[in-house]
Amino acid sequence: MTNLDPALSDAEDAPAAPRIHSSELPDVEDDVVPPAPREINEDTPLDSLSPAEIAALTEKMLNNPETRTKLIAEITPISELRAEYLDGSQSVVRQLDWLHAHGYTQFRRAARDGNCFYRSVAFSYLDRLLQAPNIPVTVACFREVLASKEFGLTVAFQDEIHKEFSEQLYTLMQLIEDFGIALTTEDLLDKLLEVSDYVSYFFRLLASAEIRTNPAPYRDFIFDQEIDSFCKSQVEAVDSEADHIPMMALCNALRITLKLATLSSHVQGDVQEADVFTVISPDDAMDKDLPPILLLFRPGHYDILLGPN
Amino acid sequence: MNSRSNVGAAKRLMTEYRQLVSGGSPDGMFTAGPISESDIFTWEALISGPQDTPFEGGVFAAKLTFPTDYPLSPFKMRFDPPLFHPNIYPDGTVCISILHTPGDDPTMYEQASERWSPVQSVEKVILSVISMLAEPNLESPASVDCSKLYRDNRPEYERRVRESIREQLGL
Repeated sequence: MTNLDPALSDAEDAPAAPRIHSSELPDVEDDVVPPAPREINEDTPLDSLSPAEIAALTEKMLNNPETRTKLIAEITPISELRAEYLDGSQSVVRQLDWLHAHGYTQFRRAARDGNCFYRSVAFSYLDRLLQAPNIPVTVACFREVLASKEFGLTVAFQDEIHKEFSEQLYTLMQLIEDFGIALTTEDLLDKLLEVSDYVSYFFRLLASAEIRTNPAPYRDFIFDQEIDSFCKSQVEAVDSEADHIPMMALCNALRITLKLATLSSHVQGDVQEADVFTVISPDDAMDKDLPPILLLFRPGHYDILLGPN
Repeated sequence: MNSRSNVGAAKRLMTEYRQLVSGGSPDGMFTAGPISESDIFTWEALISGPQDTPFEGGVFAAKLTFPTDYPLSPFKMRFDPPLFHPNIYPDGTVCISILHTPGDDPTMYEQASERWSPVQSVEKVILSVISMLAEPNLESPASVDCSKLYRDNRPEYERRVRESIREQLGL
């Protein structure tokens, strides 16, 4: 019966949540019954919705594949993004101009559902295989790195549960190997979007297993939280956005190079390359002969940036 | 994408069901499985009341309803008939942090507790619910009546729980 309830064992090593003493609970009338979850339909009066119900409806809408925008959109000129900032931050406009002048003229929007980082990396990770000079050799190399992560994943998560999510990634890699350049990037994107929730989740598990099994480089950047609770709440939770810790962890796990263009509203004067780009490149990166994965970061959101051809 | 996710959900549920059938639950504390072969998305769980609690001796039936994108989203759990417990709504729906996603926090008291993630499972959730039966969480009361009674008059709370168990057993 030890460690039956993970929430209880967590409570012992994680900082305790603020607790109110039960004696401080306000007295309530005995006939007050809290609303049980109810069926909400178009006849439900809007003003009868509680904040919790509104939150639940919003969540549902964001999660509905029909109402959410395309998870990864078609190639769009970066001038479209510039137009959105013309009345806003001029610093962002100057950085977009810098990108444009240096050949970064296009991008793809990713849906804002909390998975934009993982889904964008997943797409670029696979698309680069298609662009590689020697596809079978590169696929084999990527596979070898993934295989080396099996042990860590098995240690971090019980019952090889990660295989349920990695399976889809391996299927796509097999597809790339089988079809080679006969598969276009758009074909690949269509195939990926059918299973991208699973592939993105596998990338979360990879990042989480990396932090859990090799915490040294990350520990000092995690404040007020144990590694376990950080991984559970900030990496493994489906909608949690990625900050630099899971980003570093994922690059280290996959041994890939990530070049991140950050659009900041605080750049003064002339824009330099260092103002725009941050490169995350593990020492043992296995993709040094491929163009890096390019993402465009605005606070709270990642899109996919296309580089000079 | 819907159809593919659906396949993923059905596959996961089959795997979990198979593991529960072959391995059983720890100490035989519960059983769970689909109600009918035609619908893998609706399960029934039978949970025996934990020892040394007022629930001891009872066997409680709960319906588990899985979304088509399970395990990316959590399932719902509802005791039928409802259980008298601070964290169970009067209609029987269980309110426990592990069945909520991080963005979904009706009581706002659950920030530091364990949330749903796709690496959880039916087994882990039911074990958490069994712990919850033994130790109610007064920070997120779903039944205010019951929470109040639990806080103010523990012997009466325990008496009512035991009485409801006897009623369910037809004694």
